[in-house]
Amino acid sequence: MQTRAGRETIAGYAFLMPAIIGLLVFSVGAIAASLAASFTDWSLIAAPKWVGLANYREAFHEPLFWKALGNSFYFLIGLPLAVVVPFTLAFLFNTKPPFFRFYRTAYYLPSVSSTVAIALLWAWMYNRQFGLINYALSQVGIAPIAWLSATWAKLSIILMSLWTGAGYTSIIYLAGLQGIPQELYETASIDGANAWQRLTRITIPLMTPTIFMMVVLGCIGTLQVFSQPFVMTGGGPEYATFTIFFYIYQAGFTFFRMGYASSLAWVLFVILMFFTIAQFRLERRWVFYG
Amino acid sequence: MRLASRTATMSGQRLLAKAVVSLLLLAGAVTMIIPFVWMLSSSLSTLANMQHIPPRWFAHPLKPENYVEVFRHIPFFRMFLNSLEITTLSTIGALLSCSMAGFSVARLRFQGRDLVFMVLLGTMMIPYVVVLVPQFIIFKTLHWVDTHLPLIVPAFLAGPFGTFLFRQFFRTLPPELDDAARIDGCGPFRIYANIALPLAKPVLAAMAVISFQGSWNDFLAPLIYLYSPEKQTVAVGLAYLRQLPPLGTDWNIVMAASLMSIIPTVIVFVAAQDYFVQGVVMSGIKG
Repeated sequence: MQTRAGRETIAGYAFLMPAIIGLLVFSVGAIAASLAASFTDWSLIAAPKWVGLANYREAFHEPLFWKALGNSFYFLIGLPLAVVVPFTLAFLFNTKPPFFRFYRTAYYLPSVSSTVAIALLWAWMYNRQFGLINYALSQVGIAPIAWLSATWAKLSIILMSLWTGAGYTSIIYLAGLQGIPQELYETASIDGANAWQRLTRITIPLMTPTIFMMVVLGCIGTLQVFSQPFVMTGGGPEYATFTIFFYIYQAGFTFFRMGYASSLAWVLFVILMFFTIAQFRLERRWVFYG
Repeated sequence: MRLASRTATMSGQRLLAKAVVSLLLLAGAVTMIIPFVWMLSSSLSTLANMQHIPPRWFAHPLKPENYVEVFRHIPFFRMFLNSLEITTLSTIGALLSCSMAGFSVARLRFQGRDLVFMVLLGTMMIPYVVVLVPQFIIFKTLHWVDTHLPLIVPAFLAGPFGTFLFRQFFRTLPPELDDAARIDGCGPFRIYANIALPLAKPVLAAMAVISFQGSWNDFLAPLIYLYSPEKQTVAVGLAYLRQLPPLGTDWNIVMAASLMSIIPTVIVFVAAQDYFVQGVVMSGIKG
């Protein structure tokens, strides 16, 4: 007869089996395979050929690689706004306004719609001659802007992403705001703190863990931007929206250079890791855990 | 007397603050909704009407034929069915595998449990881009490329996020629940199926809507794995439409297709909004 502990072990692993298979094959195994592949020349037609560091050397000497990397980093300039706008929104939501559910639905709508549909909608709204945005600007005397030109396209995508993600992110901030004990505000009010002081001395410090996490996730997500430029501009014009993810996609799935694509992916992986670790290092300087 | 007037100013201020908040929120909501109205308006418009300045919100005459045009240029109906099939099966897979894994790490005691869970959580930090090429090679070796399998099967292999979600929930159930069931002779599987799962309805619902949305809107995986237009999903089909010259600039047809593509997720969202928000909140809250 089996012991209870024995039965539980068998059941425990049986229940976990799909997760373990996924873990071994698609995560840990895939990462190792990716690293190994990055040292090979592999076209999928012929067997992989060991080339040492040649792929990495090629990438670092390739101007397009640096251009793509630069573009990806450029997208980070939208991040401060991507924190402030949803935070403000959550702050307004937290005053329990009338019609809260209506607002939440409205603000949330863009993030449940497919990225492709949203990108197409904005490409049309950004149309230089007949787009809604230039028309609105013309009403306040601003000359038409070529939103999807090399000069503007990155900013246009940033603006669109802000519009898309604001509602989603604000819900997370709102949950954080609702977790702040009400007594803290009451005590502060009794001590004579005004609304501004309550915001800067209580709300923001207590929200720093949530803000921190959203900044970390925001960086990781932003450095992997791909679908929006793919749909709106095809990476152009003049490679203005060609991101590092786009470059990886192209190397792997347009030119089927699996080794080269893997080496690029690893470079991005290392950058993301470095970024994340650096942020966790800086964490204790400004993040407050009460 | 003075006190009363002070209270009056305070409530006046408060009223003003409330009005300002409502005004700001309303302005923002309009900014969110106007583009969708524009999408609808454009989708029913003739090209000539779309080139009118100032823009006309109500096309005259309306041109609902734009919607028919979509089906003429791409196998949109087929794509819709494909998306529906992939989305449904992935959602079932995610619910099943994540609830099982979550149950295991939350309710069963065995050696190595915490280690597996920690490693699983760690994989959340792996960017998808790193595993893109090896996954493709795996599915290519299996001859699964240009089938729906690469978009469905991974969902059955409990992802870290869903597992975490279920674990958090199952941990909140009182231990007496299992003990009572054990005394009645229930094994782990029956406790999972008959006791834990029925209680987990809110988490199942939250996970279902999140998974539905993620799968329906997924762009990268179908782009990489599917070549044949009749196997393609709606998300990538839309992008095709843009690339078909000269159709790519026929914004009325592109908008008609875009509008149709967002209907399922919008319906699911509006119907299950609370579960949705709950899921997002759970995903955002730290360990």
